[in-house]
Parts: sequence; C-alpha cells; structure tokens
Amino acid sequence: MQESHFDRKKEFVALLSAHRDSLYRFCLHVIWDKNSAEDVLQEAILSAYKNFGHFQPGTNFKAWMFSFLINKIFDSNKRFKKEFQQVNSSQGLDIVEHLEKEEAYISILENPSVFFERMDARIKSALLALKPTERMVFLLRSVEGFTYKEIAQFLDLPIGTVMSHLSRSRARLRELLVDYARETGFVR
Amino acid sequence: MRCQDSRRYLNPYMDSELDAKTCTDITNHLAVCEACSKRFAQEQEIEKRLVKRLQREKMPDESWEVILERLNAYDSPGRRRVRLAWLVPAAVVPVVTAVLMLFFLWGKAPDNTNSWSATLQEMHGKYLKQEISISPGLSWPQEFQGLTVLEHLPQSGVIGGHDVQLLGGRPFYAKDIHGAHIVYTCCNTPASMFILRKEDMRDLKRAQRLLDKGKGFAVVDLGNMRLSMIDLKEVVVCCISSHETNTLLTAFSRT
Ligand SMILES: [Zn+2]
Ligand SMILES: [Zn+2]
Repeated sequence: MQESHFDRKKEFVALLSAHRDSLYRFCLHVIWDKNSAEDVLQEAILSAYKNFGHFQPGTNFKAWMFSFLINKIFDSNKRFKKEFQQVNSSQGLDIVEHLEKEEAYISILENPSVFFERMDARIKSALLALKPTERMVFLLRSVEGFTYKEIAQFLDLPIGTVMSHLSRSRARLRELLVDYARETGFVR
Repeated sequence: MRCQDSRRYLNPYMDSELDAKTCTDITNHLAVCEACSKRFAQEQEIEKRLVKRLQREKMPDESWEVILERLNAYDSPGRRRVRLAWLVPAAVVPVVTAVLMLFFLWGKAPDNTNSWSATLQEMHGKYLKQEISISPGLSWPQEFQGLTVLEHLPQSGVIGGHDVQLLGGRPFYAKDIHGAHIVYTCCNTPASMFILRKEDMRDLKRAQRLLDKGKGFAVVDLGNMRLSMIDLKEVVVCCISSHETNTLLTAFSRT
C-alpha cells in the first residue's frame, strides 16, 4: 500500500500533538536542564517517527512514544540506567507507617490548601531531590498515569520493584514537604 | 483486616492497582474505619495537589515549531531513499542492499563521529550564541550532589593575576556525555568548564593518555579554541575557551 509521506506525517503529528505537554514535562523533570531536555526529546521524536511504520493503529500511542523517550534518556545518561540496574533490595519507607515526622505531617494533611499555596515553589525542589529512578517512576505513575505494568515494561523491571521505587519516592516527597514546612515555620 | 494491613495497600489503592480480593477487603475496612478512610482521602488529596503542580509545565510553542521543522527536514532524504529502491530492477538485489546499507551508514554517521571534545566545543559555542542559558543560582539535581567539586567551585575574584567571574552553571546531558557545565569569564573572555565523572566518560582512554603524559594536565588545540583538562581523581575538569585558562583550571584542584 502506497500511503503518501505527507499523510503519514500528518497522522504522526496529530497523535504527537495530543501528548506534547506530557512528553515535554516528563523529559524536563527527569533531565532538568531545559536545553538538554529539548535535545533528548527531539531525538526521541525523530526516532519514533522513523519507526512509525511499526506503530499499531488503535494501540496506546502515548505509551509507544514514551518508550522511545525513555530509551533516549537512558542513552543520554548512562548513570540513570545504571541506577535502575542496581536495584536496592531494602524496600524501606512506606508512606504511612514510616514518617517519623508524623505529627508535623498530620498538620500538612489537615491543611493541604494553605500548605500547597505557601510551598508552591518548593514542590519542584522536592522533586529535584529525588534520585532519578524515584523521580522517573513517580512521574510515570502519578503525573502521566501509566500503569505499573506499563512502567515495568518501560524500565525493564519486575512490577514489585516498580512498586517499591514508587512507594519510596512518595515517602521521600512527603518527608521533604515536612522539612520545608519546618523550615518555613508552617509546622514545628 | 487491621488498620496496619490496610495502610500497606495505600499505594496500589491510590493507583487502582489492587486485585479484586484485596480491593474488596480494603473497601470493607474503609467503610467501617474512620481513621483509615480519612487518611486515605487525605493522602489522595496531597497526591492530587503535587501532580497538579507538576502538570503545570507546558511545551513552549517555539519548541513545538522546532520539532515540526525537524520532522519536515527528515522527510526529504527519506523520500529519496524510497524512490531509489523502486527504480532499481529486482535482478540487482545485492546492489540494492549495498546502496541501502550505504544510505544507512551515511545516515548514522553524524551521531557517531562526534567525539566528546567536539560536543563540549559545541556546547560552549551554543552558550556564546546564547542558545543555552546558564542560571546564576546553581541548583543541582540529586545525581550531581555527590560531586564535592561543585560545592567548592572557584569563586569570582582575582586568581593568580586573572580577573575571574563565576557566571553560573547547569547540568547537561548531550549525546553520550553528561556532567556539569559551569561558565566563567577569565579576563572578560568566556570560558566553559565541564565537570565530567571519569566513570561516565566514553573516550576516557584517550583523555587519560593525554592526562598521564602531562602529569594530570593536558591542552588540546582546537583551532580558534583550546581544550584544557585537569585530572581530579574521580572527575576530569575540561575547559573550552579562546583564552589561556590554566590558572583558573588549577584553581579547581585546590578545592
Ligand atoms: Zn483502619
Ligand atoms: Zn585570564
């Protein structure tokens, strides 16, 4: 079948444009530097476009696109890949059980709107303080809405490992929130 | 189900990833336990607010334009390749294969021939052309925080007779290398300093040979620029500048 390049590209761009913000913010939040993030994203999009013939219409384009993006991120930074391979067996940190700062945390839970209003600028610093593995898993699950199974496939990890990364990153984020709340006198 | 057990499932509960049996157990527990049901709702609220904050980031239109341009540029050679394959008679399959392979190799070449020194030079060039911005407040992602050299960067002032200004820095991830990119001016000439972990350096052998020969210090002439390097055990600090920056570079070793 001789479908013209023009139509194929139009189709690709249409699918892509629906996810442009997702792809951009994921890349930016993982890589952090805007210029590098844009370079990596462009490479990922080009390589997906080259392989667009293999995309099965009707399947999840966002997931398909993210698999290219994650590969490019790993290519651009060997350290990320390495960290995923050195899976930490200590499960550690569970959101609820853990938090030794429980009392301070409770006051955040009780007044979320005041807290988030005041902490707005610090949310990104909290994310920055997570390890790349924790950051990626959290972003993929919570911000981009992928399932555990999809994340496990992206990162080539067992589902259980994805779950422990996720639980650790959520616990770490909350710990950091408590630290900021202390610093700013929101809680004692 | 006890409260402690139910709370272990908070994550998969929030993510709708519970199996049917556990889901029923949790729902039943939440129906009768006010403490847990309150806590689960609160946690979901926190999560929702975090996510909302992080979703605020949008792709700028300029970035989208660049992507569209690159897709357009990619299409032209691609079309030629297809037409060529159509024109060649089926009898000369080996020739077609050879031609396609050539195209394949040719298409791949630019990425691979780029050595790290060229990449660093390119990044310094981008800074000079103001294509990349350097933030004065140096904040580093977690994966950089083990680099002690970043915590003790040479500061602005007169160093060995050179007027040094620290302008700022950023993490970078380019091609096969990543590290920290710090920009200074030395005697009013911009100088990009790149801090690279040795374990991440792909061309380490070549760099190491140069560094060993120069007892931990090496200079490579790049035409209008020079690349100078200093070996600091775990990291190598590379400098790209048109200025002679040995003094600034040695200041890194004193940290
Ligand atoms: Zn309970
Ligand atoms: Zn100077």
